[in-house]
Amino acid sequence: MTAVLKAEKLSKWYGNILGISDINLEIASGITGLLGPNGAGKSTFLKIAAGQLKPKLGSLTLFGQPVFGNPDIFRRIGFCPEHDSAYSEMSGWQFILLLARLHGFDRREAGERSEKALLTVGLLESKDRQIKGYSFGMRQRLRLASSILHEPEILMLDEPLRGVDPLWRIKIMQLIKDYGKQGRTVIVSSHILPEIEAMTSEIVLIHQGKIFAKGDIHRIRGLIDSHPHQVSIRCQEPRRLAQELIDCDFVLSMDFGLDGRSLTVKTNQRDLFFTALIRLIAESGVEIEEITSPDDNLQAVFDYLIGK
Amino acid sequence: MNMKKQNALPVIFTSFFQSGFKAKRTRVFILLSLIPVLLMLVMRILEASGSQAPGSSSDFFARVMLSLYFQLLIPVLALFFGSTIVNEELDNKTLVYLTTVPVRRRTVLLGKYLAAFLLAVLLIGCGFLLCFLAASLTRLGDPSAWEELGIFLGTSLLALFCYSALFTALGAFMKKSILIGLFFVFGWESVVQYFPGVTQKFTIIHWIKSLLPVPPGEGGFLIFQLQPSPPLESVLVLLVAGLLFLALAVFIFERKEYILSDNA
Amino acid sequence: MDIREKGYRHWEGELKSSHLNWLPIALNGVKTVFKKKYAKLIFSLSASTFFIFLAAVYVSTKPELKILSELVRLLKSDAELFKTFYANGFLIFMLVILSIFSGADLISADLKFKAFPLYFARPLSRGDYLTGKFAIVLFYLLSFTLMPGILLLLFKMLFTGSLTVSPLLLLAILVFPVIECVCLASLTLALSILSPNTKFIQIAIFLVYMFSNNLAQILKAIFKSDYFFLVSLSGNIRQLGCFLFGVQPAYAFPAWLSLLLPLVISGLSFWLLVWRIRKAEAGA
Repeated sequence: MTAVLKAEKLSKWYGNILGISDINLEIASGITGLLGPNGAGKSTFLKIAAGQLKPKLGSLTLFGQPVFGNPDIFRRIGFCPEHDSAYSEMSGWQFILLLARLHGFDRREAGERSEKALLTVGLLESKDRQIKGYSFGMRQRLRLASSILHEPEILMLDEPLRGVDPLWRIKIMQLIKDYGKQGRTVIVSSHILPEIEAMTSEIVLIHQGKIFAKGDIHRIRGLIDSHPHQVSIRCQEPRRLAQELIDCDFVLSMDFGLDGRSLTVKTNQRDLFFTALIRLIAESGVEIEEITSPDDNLQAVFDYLIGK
Repeated sequence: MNMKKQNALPVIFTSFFQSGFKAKRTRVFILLSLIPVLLMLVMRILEASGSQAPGSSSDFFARVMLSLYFQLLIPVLALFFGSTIVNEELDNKTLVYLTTVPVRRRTVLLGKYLAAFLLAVLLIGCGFLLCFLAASLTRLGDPSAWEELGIFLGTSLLALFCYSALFTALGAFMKKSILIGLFFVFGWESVVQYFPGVTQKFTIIHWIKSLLPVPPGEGGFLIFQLQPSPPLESVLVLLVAGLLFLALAVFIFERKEYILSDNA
Repeated sequence: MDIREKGYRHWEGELKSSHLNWLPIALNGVKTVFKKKYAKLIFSLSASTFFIFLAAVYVSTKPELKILSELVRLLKSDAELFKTFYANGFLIFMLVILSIFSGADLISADLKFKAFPLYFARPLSRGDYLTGKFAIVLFYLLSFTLMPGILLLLFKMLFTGSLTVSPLLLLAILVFPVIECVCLASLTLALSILSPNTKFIQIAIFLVYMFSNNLAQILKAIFKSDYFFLVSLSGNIRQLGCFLFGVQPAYAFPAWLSLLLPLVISGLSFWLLVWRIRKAEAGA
């Protein structure tokens, strides 16, 4: 897949403070989650990608073009900033309409697109109210509307769900997923892991200005040798299952659940373990209710890599 | 998606002119620019009642223009409107919306500048006109009165243009532009006026005063050594300086990266 | 209930309210202003008057430099010297700049960032809040008026070798800058509470100062009377200085009248602050 965004040796610092350091990254179409703790460099990266900042070293291109000082590229980019900012004396309608006109649409089309964008984020009914009268969540949705009104090919969202109520969180996440399904590129930054997980399995993990990991969550998890995988099995006879598994070399440790109906196994060879488990289940006839991997998720990846 | 290249300049100009016009602070500036009108009316009433010598109001008009408009309101309004073109976007963190659209940064700056400039012109122009009417009610048929008004209006346009262009460049370059601007106008320009020779030419006010009809009996409360330059030279210098400052503002704004901090 | 018990600590003693609740606001504000960009430049310019007058004090105490004292009127008497120091145009201009620099954003920034709940969700009264903010501006204004004035006096004593000072002169040296600075500080805060736009407030503070001066001069030109300098901020400061230091008045109106404008400004400003803070507290 052709990379839409390409960063090469990208570095940015603010005086003595490092923003990002030596980032080499390619992002193709689809949804990519940009995650990391506060101050990791996510916003800095997105601001460079959105042409708000210039790289100190290296380069970042979108569709093969530099971003800063290249206004034409913004026909294809949508950016939702993290700052709670707006022209508070304008109404929501005036604000979106202004941006639509600046995107090059004539009055009629700008009006239609503005209406559609506001409807998408649920602000059509409050469109004539001044933005200073909007709640935090409404202003967040308005910023989202400003980034999608021209249906850009690449959408960059910096903490798009901050302050949004649970109902609209689900709707916005669905909107982002729909965008990804259309073949567009979406880069979503957040430090709230379940949100990212709900939208995509492709992640870029940033910490202290550097990329710690990139790719599919599960594949990354598989690469983390220093932390054995946990597999939790819920069944009627966990101790019997444990007896069978205890002799396997790739089983490092086992814990029984307090309710006496579950067994958590730690293994450093997941594939071998599952092969053995399936065979054991077939041979022993133990009835299995549920098998889960408690740490095959983003939180675990995040914790293990960031070193908590 | 079929996007025609619409001209963004009128869109930006219209939007920011409307929001500037409706802003609360504009009402304050309107009130301020009407205070000289009030003074003119007082003067006219006194002249009509015989408390003041006939013709005093015309003399007074020139003094009011110089003292209140050219030495105070025009530079201060230009400073406020000029420096807030970029700085207000930074303070409110709304610059991102204007720089993530397919519009050249220079168009954004020029659109906002024109809106601010027109607003300032309207504020000052209305005050001027009303002052003139108050001062010259009995000599409206006299072409020289209208000529005087023309000179004042024309000079005020040039003054606003030059000052606002300078402060737009200052505002594009630095955040604390208001204080620097105040030091320039009321520090540098005030002090240098007292110096003879070419030093005065390193101020904008010198060229402005060179265009104005100096009231008789000058030296009362306006003590300075004015060695006026020729009017044509003054007009050219103000125009060229204004254009250069504006070009500098565009140059800075197109190239500078603005880091939106969380500080006020 | 076991867990809940473990969650609480029990302290001995009575919870008392402090009369210094405003102090953290003041200290924090003073430090913040000091760290601002161009702070040192503005402070240096403001302090420059002190060094010039220090040289003047030195000259006035040296018999061998008496000829200079003859030439410069202000060196002839201590009262004239101190009055000129406190009421000179440059210092007043710098005090206005200092007011803008240290005070324009004090309340307007709180309005802009809706910070009032942060303050009033604590055991802090409106008075504490305003006192804290007021103290910040007053600190900086007095640092470049009262403090240098006292230092000038001390240096004078040092150079003359005499510790005697006229009680009236001492009173004037202490009281005049306080009146001057209280007036400016209250005006600054009163304007700061009017708008969340700090740049507009900066311009407004300066316009009030300049407009009042220019207006006074114009009114004097119309009516040929010095009484119109009562509307001028710097005019009043000069005249008040003449009154307190007992020197020849700068303008032809009773010098004691110049107390009026600072009192009126301070009074109106306090009233406005209290009224607006109630409104802002209520979230209007």
